Amino acid sequence: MGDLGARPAAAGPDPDPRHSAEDLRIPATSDPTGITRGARFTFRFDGDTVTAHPGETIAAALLAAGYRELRRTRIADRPRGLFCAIGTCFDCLVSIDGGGPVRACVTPVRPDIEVEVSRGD
Amino acid sequence: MATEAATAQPIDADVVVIGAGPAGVPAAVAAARAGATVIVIDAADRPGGQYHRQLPHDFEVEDAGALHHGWRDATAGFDELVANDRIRHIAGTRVWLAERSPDRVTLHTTGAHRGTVRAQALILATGAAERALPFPGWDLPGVLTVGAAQALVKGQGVRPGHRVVVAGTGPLLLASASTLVRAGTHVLEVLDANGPGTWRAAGPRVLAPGKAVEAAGYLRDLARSRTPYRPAQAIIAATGDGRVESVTIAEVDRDWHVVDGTQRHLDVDAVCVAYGFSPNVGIAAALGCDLTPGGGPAVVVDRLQRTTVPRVFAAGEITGVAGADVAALEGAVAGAAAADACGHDVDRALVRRQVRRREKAQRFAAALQRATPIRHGWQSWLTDDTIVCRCEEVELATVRSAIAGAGVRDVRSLKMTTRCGMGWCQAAICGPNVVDLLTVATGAVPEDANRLAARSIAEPVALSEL
Amino acid sequence: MTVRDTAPRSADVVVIGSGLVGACCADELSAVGLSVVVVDRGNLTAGTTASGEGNILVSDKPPGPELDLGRLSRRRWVELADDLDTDIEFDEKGGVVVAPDEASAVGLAELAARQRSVGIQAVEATGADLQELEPHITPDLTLGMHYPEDCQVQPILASAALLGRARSRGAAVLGQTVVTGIELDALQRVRAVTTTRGTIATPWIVNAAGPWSSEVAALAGLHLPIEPRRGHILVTEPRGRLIHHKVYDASYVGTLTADPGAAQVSAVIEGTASGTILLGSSREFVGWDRQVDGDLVRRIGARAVQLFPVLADVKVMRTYVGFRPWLPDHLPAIGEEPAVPGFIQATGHEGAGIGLAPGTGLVVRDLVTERTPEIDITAFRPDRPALLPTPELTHG
Repeated sequence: MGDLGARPAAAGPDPDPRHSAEDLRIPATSDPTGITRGARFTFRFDGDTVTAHPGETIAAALLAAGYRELRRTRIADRPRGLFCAIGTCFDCLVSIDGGGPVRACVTPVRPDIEVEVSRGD
Repeated sequence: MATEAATAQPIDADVVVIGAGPAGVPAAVAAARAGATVIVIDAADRPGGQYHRQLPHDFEVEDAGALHHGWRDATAGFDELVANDRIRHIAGTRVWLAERSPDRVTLHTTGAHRGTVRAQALILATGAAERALPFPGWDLPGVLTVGAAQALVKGQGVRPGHRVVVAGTGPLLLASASTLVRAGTHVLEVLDANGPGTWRAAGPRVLAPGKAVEAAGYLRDLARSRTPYRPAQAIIAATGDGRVESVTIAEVDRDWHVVDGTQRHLDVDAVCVAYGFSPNVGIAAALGCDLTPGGGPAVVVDRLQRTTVPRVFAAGEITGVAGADVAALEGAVAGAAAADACGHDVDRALVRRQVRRREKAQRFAAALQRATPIRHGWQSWLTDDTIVCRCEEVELATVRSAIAGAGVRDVRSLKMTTRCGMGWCQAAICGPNVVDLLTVATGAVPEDANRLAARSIAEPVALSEL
Repeated sequence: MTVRDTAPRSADVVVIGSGLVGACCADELSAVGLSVVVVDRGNLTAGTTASGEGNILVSDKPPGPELDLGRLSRRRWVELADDLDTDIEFDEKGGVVVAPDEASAVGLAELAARQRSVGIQAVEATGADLQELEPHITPDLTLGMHYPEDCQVQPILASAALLGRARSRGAAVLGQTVVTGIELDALQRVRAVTTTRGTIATPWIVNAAGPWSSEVAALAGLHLPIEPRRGHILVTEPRGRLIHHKVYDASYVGTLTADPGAAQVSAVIEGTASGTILLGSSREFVGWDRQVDGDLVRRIGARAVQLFPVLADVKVMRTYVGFRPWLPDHLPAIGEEPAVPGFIQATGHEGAGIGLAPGTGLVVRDLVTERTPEIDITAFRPDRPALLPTPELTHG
């Protein structure tokens, strides 16, 4: 179920800072950049439960939670993830609820959707 | 079965603007003030384009302008987009085809509005995207464009990684790095492949007072977070198991060839690269607008932002990257010119002043561009198995063998024999790089260099969403 | 491709047009030892062939001369796929024709019966049988007909391979070479071709210029009422093998002969080796307008989704137009012009050019070497009544 290198560390302290499970979201603080988000909900990615907030894209929620690999390529089964994040490159294709590949970076995340790494045919 | 039919009735206006960014919003406002009815079509839910990308409606932020420049003017424009009765802003909507006939332009859209939009004049304000150069390992998860990092930070409040390196060149490299740092991103280093020699050669205008102050501000942001800025250095490889874990950095000479013995490694979990910009000219090229020569072409316009196609105007980065200030001026001029083309009265004195201001601002921008060229030495960083076309997974060896072995000299033949440019992104990412590879290998810019630029379908659309 | 500065001074045959028909002619003529020059005013194989889907069909032809040419041509395709060094993606995938309603089902059944009577394989498939042939096809169909003999090929690869083989036998293949005139002798016989790269003395000219053929014919004082009949093709993202055969709506055959006034749309769907799916088709007269028509794109998309609901979320990535060489009676013009000996027409194949090209090449070879062609080509005479000039326009 996915490449171990593409997952965040399991719960608990991770001595390797490259795989820190610390969420990448800009937090709610009183700094000018502080962001308050709506109530969190969950969805599933490749069998894991992942949290998200209203207004987030699938790509942002997965990135924030430490996931990097979003698809495997058709010809050589290469791992790919977010690249342009603006809907131009099509490297972030994922499958939602068993459907055809869609761009994670322009698709809003919704509660309880089942997202999977899309694989080449 | 097919989903509900597209909106049967076309919607009409005098002027239609594609893009609600730093050029599109001023264009719509200027056209409306001159009395034209305006429709603005934009893919995002909120105006701002890339440069002024906003957080989702559902987010609350302490200071919406914290990570932005020119925020006050931008929000004034957003407000007028809503307040001005003559402007209709269609958000969450993408144009997949533009057609022109002698008396009007017809746009086919999908998304929130599925149907057709017709106007007498079209203003293209579709901006530009960061250009990424290939290097070994650039397709590993965790390698992003700088534009991606900007979109994530500004548009979703998410940082690109925990240990980030920013590398590339271009007029916005420093500004973008500064934004990431102000958003709390741990940026280990910022690398500019161009060095002080290139900057000096660009001429005194690069150090124009306003620009120098701006640059100093960005460098201060980096210094505050102890992020070194290193000119004449580049990422020449990325490695990792299933995701990027390390990069190889080296000094490069003036032509971007690696200075041997300067290679070093850095542990990272995210890499943000950007080597200048590629204007988004897909629709313009499909309509037949003339483009500037070379890889990453821009739309040719005159002083009134007219393209070479009647009724079609262009403003902002699509005409050449010159920053948000120039984009706003170009937008205002285009809006007035488009309204004028529809028979409305414009304030000609105002337009003349805006044209003059734009020309002045553009000279600074051009100097900055000269200071941040792309040098062909990047091609020496590649190995045989470096991916050139990401979508179709075409390796450098395949491209080189088509050129050397089969004698391929033009873009069309290269595409046919290697499949470069045939994937989902339709050469958006690999196009300019393929042109540069052909140019260096054959000694001449391919005669059909702009062939990859035209998009017959502006972006892939599901059949049920046409 | 080596670009010569000047054309050869003479040749046994000059072929005008480097699309698939021209390439097949060049291949067959050079194979029997004739010296051949192929000229094309643009880049090689950049015309109609480059826009083609690669159809090799027997299913869309009723018994008659065109079916005969089609069968001859198909046999030759099988041989070429085997002989040629490069992979031309030849696939004997078979075709499935579907009739969505009673009226078209009756027409399809009748056509199939007639085709069977001359030895074409046409197998009825409905319900579970049809689902087995095409798992994703809509169940909402009255009749399906399986034609195992329909094939597909990649036309640009095929054309390039054939031109390459002709070149290896000494043929000269010149792109960016405009034919400026055709010289005739005192008996009105072909004597030479003048081009922007020089004059080529030759007794034989093959006009394989596709939709541009009437301009070429006019240079020899000949009238050939070829008109460009525009079509659109949509190309989808790669989605693996969703579609197994070449599938089209029986009404496709109707649009071939329909009133040419309005734009005709009929579903034609097939997968390719790379996993993309090609969707067509449209037919209209708009001169040489290359601008894509968004309404036709929508109609083609809607027809495709009706036939294969699974396509609803499949993305179209690009679309392009092509111009078929149309003649008023929908049959090609293949034969020597009685008024200009030595001038052979090999054009007007409309939407069937890819399938019919190898057979056309064989016929042209026979005409030049004065052998009797394997099939009866009377119906393709370029001077037949249907092609003669009329006082008024033949279409609106």
